[in-house]
Amino acid sequence: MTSDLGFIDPTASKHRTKIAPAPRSMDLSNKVVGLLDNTKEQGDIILETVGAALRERYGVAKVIMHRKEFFSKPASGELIDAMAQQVQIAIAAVGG
Amino acid sequence: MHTASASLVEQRARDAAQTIAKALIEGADATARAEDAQQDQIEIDADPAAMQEYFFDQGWTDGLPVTPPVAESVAAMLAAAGRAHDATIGPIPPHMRVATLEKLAVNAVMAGCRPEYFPVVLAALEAALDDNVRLYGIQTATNTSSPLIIVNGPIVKTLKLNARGNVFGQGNRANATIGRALQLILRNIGGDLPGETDMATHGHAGKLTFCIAENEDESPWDPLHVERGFMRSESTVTVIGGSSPQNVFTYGCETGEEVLEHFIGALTGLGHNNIIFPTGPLFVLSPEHAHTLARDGYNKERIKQRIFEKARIPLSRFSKRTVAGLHHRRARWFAEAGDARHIGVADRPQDINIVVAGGAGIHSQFVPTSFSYEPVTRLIRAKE
Amino acid sequence: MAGKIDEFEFFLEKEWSDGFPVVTPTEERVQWMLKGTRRDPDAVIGRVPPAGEVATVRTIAIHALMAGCKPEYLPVVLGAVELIVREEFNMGGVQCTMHGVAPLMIVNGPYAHKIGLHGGNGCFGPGFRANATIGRAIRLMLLNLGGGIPGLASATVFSSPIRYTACLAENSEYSPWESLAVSRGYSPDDNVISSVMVESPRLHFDDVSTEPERLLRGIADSMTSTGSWHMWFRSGIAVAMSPQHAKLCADAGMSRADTHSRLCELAGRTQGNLKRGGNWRPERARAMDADPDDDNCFIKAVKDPATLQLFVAGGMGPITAVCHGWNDSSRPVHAKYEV
Repeated sequence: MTSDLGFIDPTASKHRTKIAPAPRSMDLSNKVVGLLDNTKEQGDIILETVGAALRERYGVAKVIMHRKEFFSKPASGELIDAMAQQVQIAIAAVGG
Repeated sequence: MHTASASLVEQRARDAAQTIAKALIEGADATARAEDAQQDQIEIDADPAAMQEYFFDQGWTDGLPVTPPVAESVAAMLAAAGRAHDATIGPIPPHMRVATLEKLAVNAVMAGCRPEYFPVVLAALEAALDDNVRLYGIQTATNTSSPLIIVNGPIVKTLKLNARGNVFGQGNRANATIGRALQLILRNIGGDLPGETDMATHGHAGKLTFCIAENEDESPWDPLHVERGFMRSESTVTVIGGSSPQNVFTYGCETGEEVLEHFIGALTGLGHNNIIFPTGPLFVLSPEHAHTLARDGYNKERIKQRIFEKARIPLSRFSKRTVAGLHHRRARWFAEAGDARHIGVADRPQDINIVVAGGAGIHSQFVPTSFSYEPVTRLIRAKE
Repeated sequence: MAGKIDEFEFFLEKEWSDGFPVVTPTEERVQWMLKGTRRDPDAVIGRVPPAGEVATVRTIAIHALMAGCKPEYLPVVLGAVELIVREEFNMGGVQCTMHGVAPLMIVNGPYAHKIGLHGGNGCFGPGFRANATIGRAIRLMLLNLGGGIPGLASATVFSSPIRYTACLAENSEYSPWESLAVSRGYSPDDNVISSVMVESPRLHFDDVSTEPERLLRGIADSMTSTGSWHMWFRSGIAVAMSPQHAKLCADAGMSRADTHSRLCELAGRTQGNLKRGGNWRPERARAMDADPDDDNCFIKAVKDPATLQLFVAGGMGPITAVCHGWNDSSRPVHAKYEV
């Protein structure tokens, strides 16, 4: 934190931490895709439609839908763990 | 979409599916990369002097002339990359730009690299961007620090890097241009400019170029990359933030003990970076020093242990303010070393780095290190 | 292109800046701020969601310093951070939400008075260093350590002015009743912070009522609206009655508890009224155990009386400040803090 600026810079490091995305190019065929519904209205329709398109047009093998408990609360650790076990690609609906 | 009809939502979602799939397959920044990859071709006067002046005027040089990055040279450099041409590397501080391989090749050409050096440059850049190197701090601080590149493995001989006499100095194209390529990339792509984001009070020559190879043949011990878990037959770069090397001249010393005593003396002066930063200091030992130490029963581990134990400065030498600051900046030392009255130059013996390089002579280099949490080593992916 | 860094520009250009200059944190000043606590500077108080950066006592001191706090404010800031990172408060959810609510800090007890935390005229606004800077210290941490920055984690449509700062005391001097903390069972000597996620206050002006029923019906009306979230959740809201309004009730023989329960009874609207605009949806009605087709069904503003934060604050004048709430993924919290 302390630098040679002559004062302290308390900027949190995590903002600059880049989580590297999964390597591209990715092949979608035969993959299992997980969809996380944040429970906002009609989010389920969006995800179901995207899931169907991924199956029909991009060769995704299987689509699994999960629902958060409530949009304002983070998904529980158990839910994320369960999804991580089941899927290779995850898509989350964010916002409303 | 809260209030849209279900059928409209479905329609929009079907349209969006293509974008989503593209992001999954190619990556979300695919569009940004496409923009970057556009070749910025410029037409300038073929007269070499005019070309140089143009580059100087644009601020694209380190103060020295550059090799004009004409299309053929860049293509040849790219061809030697050893990886897919649409790869990108980044973000590069301080402006956090992502570089296409092409832009990196341009800078390597400007530096004067031969195409076969390019994989080393790329590996060095990737190592420098590792969070553990803390390049942002190195590039923007008032402190004197620059990413030092240490090359290990068979590639040293293949590319004729210098690991011997005058290793930190001038004269060898590979050392000079590989180090310089990294600096030009950090300047031209990272955007680090003295007075703007580069606030170095003095800087040092290592900001022009700072690249050495280890003298593995003349070392009695395992080379750096083997210590760090690689095979001797693998070629690597290791990067750490370093200041100007301090020459330790062991005048009149005959034994390993005496040599070490000089090293410890160099470490116990006030003001060097390894008092303030928890980064472990680096020693570049001449082959002669290495052999004297080995003859007298020292291996790297024993040297590190001795330095850790003996290179300590009494806290009474510092003001209260400095001591308070040290308690914060060297928190791990105070928590783990069990010595409340001194400050050491490393938090743990294993944090000290030792490399053997250089020619004949009873000199070694204490390279004060800073910012980096630890050195970062990367495999060089050379084209077969 | 001068070599010297302008410390003010440095911090104003930070992604987490609240847009105002900060007191430049130097080691010397941080040591000065740390005099405000006996706690170990390296002690971990909590992680600020959603980015989860660690707030140690020292980190909190740095933010308090930047905000403009005096060392004697630090115990309140420390207590506040401990409180707002409680899981049931769901600070992470509020950091990300579209709705511009903020954790309002209501501070009770003798220490608040000692350090000049203001609960009298102008208490929601500028001019009072303790109010302004304690609230701001918390916000700077929510921005920097928590990452609750628009474009990063925060999706607010408007945010809110109370996201600059939201901290006050009660007007204990002119309140006819016991404090919010005491009504909860704390002792009058305890130093307590209560916090609830609310919008900025709407100011209910009533210079006409001469008896409590009309006054409270009016305040209750301000506690409802067709576009409020707390109508559809068991969430907390805040009502700050001016001493004048509180006295009107007290003089008629109403205790704090009486006033509190009367407000809970009165505040609500018929479902038919709520359907006309705002965020009524059949699913939301069903979630509140209301039949969506029953227009006469009375939807209470405060489902669980314990979530209503009723207190006395403000200066002389016939106004009660009402702060609408969020949803019940955040439960109001309160705790003692160490000085």
